[in-house]
Amino acid sequence: MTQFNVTETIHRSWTVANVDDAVARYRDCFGFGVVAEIEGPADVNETLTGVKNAPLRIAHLRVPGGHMVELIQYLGPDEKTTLRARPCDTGAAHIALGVDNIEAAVEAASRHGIELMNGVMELYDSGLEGVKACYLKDPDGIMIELIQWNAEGNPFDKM
Amino acid sequence: MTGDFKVVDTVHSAFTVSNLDRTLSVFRDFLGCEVVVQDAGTPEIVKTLTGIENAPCKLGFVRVPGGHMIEFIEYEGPSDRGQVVSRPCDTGAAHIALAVNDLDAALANAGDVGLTLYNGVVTIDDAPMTGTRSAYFRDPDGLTIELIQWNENGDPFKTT
Repeated sequence: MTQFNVTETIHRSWTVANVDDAVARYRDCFGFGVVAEIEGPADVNETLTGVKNAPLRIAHLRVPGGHMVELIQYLGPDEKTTLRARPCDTGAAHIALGVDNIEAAVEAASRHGIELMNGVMELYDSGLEGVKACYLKDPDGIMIELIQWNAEGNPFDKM
Repeated sequence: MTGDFKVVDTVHSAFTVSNLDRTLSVFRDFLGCEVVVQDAGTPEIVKTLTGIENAPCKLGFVRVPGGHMIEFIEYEGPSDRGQVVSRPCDTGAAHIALAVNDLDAALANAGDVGLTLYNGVVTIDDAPMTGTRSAYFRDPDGLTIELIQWNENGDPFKTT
């Protein structure tokens, strides 16, 4: 097999209905930094995705800590739709963010139209006591998990 | 204004998959990720988080070279769970983009592990990105993975 290496993760990306609204939401609610806002020509996008007549508006945001999120607004084609995935549906996606105060984050998210899906879970397992998590959904159907670690921090950092 | 809380980092990206073992083997053996932990999610936790009942699940966490974590979740319930059939233009469609050092080598072998090229390969001809190449792939679950090979200038966002 011809060898190649994955060297890093570049971004996590979502298609959104309106890139200005989505950028404002994630900048103002979660403190994402706006790194670049660009236009994607329809011909380049057709080569990449096979979708015709679809110029793009693209924003690249940096999550605190460094990971990049890309938000893409398709200006075409006419027959594009909105997905309504449930977490149990194959292909459903989410991104998990570490926060220092999950209750305050849930309140702030709601003010920006990003709503709690159900409840806030708390763990009682040894080593994970007090870790809290919840799922949120934004107006585009993007699912965000919030996690507040206990004093031990992120256990994956030690694995 | 972020009020009285802060986002401190990205913990992981996640995808729901139909066959956790198959997905983990592609990400480990083809994409060179490290399988960090495999676990089970109880129906109680899933219900609290998502509101979905009767949904035990299997979890696998992989670390991509460079450090980002991806969580893969295989739901074992409920019986009416479905499959997201998305095009990139559909609101809510997601993908993850990974950097590779040899896109042609990835293209030559992706089909062997069930990754299908969406359409073609883009080569950018605008400075300073001239020569950077990108392609979209779809896995058997419909997950979209973009592979990007930077030109000699590397990742432009690193210095932004």
